[in-house]
Parts: sequence; structure tokens; C-alpha cells
Amino acid sequence: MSLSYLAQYFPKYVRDPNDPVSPDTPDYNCIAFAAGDTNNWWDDVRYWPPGVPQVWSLASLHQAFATIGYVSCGANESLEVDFEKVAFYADASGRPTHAAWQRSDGRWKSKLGPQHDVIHGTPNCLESNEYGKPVAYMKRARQTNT
Amino acid sequence: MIFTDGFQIETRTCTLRSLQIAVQQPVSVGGRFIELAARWKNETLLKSYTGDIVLNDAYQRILAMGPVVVPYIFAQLQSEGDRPQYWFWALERLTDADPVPKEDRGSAKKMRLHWLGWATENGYVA
Repeated sequence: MSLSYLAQYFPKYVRDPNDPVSPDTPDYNCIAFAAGDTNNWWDDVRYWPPGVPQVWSLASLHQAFATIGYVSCGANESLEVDFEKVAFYADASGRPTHAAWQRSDGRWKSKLGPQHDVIHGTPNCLESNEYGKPVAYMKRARQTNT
Repeated sequence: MIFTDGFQIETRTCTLRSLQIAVQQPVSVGGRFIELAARWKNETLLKSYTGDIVLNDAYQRILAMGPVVVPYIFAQLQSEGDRPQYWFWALERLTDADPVPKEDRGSAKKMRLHWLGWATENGYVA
């Protein structure tokens, strides 16, 4: 699929043409991708970590990521070298819409629904009608150097 | 109109053109399905939450078409290969079947295989 549609949905996003883009796939969504799982589509309908309430909410997302070692870090999106971070997005009503994961170079990476994943400079780059805006962050000790 | 005996009646004339009857072309089930499926895909292009994907209006209209649409869904599912869209929620409701084990519900590829196996067993696909 052409990437030209991205400008239509994400007016703040400017793609660096040198950045790689994954193939589109329905195997996993943004939540799974941020959690490091590319085999499951994470939500309370399809796959949800055992023991986490089957509810689609920010609180439930926090609990889901807590099962893999993440802790809340408030609104701190800045790079901390020894940590990897995830950002959760929500719409105006506080309903989760998206998640992004911070790379070791400080930039962020997002899987767009069943489409591909893209690299973006900050979480705010994907602020949009589609995803709302980033509202919460979690971090854990960095496990990958990508 | 005036008859020879002087009896008069009123007549009204109307023309078919003035009635402007809108004749709708019948839309086939397959045509309607293709139209709605395309709309659904476009409107849920970036959605990450299954609830948003299956509660989309076009998806719900496909569901409302009833069991007659099931063969079209299976044909579509077959054609999508290893990049299936999430037809499974509709299939569960339209067939009242659930051939996917809980441990495979996170994988669209595995769900597709379970459903196509069920479709073969039940005569929907050859």
C-alpha cells in the first residue's frame, strides 16, 4: 500500500524516507507491538494477558503492561538510556486508541492498526482525530537495543 | 369529458413522466457485500481495537444481511490469504459456531485456518 494516506490521517507526521517500514499485517496491533509481541493481536476481545480485567480502558492497559515489567512514569516521554517506554493514546473521552514504543535512539515506533509500523520523532507526531493524543507513559528496563 | 347525454365527469390526467417513479436496480447480495466490505476496510484502516472494527456501521450492515452472506465471507476470507481481515466475529454470529480454540484467538492467521476448516466441513468451500 502507498504511504501517501498517512498525511491525511496524521497531519503532524512527516516521514523520513530513509526510515524502514514493515509490511502490513493483521498478525498484531499497536498494543501487541509496543509489548514486543508480534504473534497476537492484543485487546480484551482477542488476546489479553491472563489475570488482567477484560476491559478496554487505560487502567486495564496499565495492568496488561505491568505483567511484562512496565511501571507508570507519568507524563515523562523523554529518553532514559537504560529504559524503554511505551506511550498510550486516548480519545477525548479517555478511551484507548493506540500505543507506541520508544526506540533506543529516542524516536518512537508504532504499528498502525492492521497496517505497517512507522517510526516517528515524538509521540505527538501521531496526534490526530484517529488516535487522539498521548496521555500516559510506562517504562521498564530496556530489553532490546533496536 | 362530456358524454352525448350531457353527463360530465372530471378527468385527471397524469403522465408517467410527471410521477417520476424512481426505479431502483436490484442489488445482488454479492454486490452489496463487496461494497460494504470495501467501506468497512477503508473506515477501519488504522483501528487497533477489535470493538471499533466490528461495531463499524458497514460491518454491522454485512451482519444484518444474515446467513445468506456467509458464502461471500468465506470466499473473501479465502482470497485474503495470510492477511485476513477480522471476519470471525461476524461468522460466529451468523453460523452460531465457534471453531477457534481460545489459545488461537490472538492470531488472525490461525483463526482463518480454523474457520476455513469449518467451512469445508460444512460445505461452504470445496
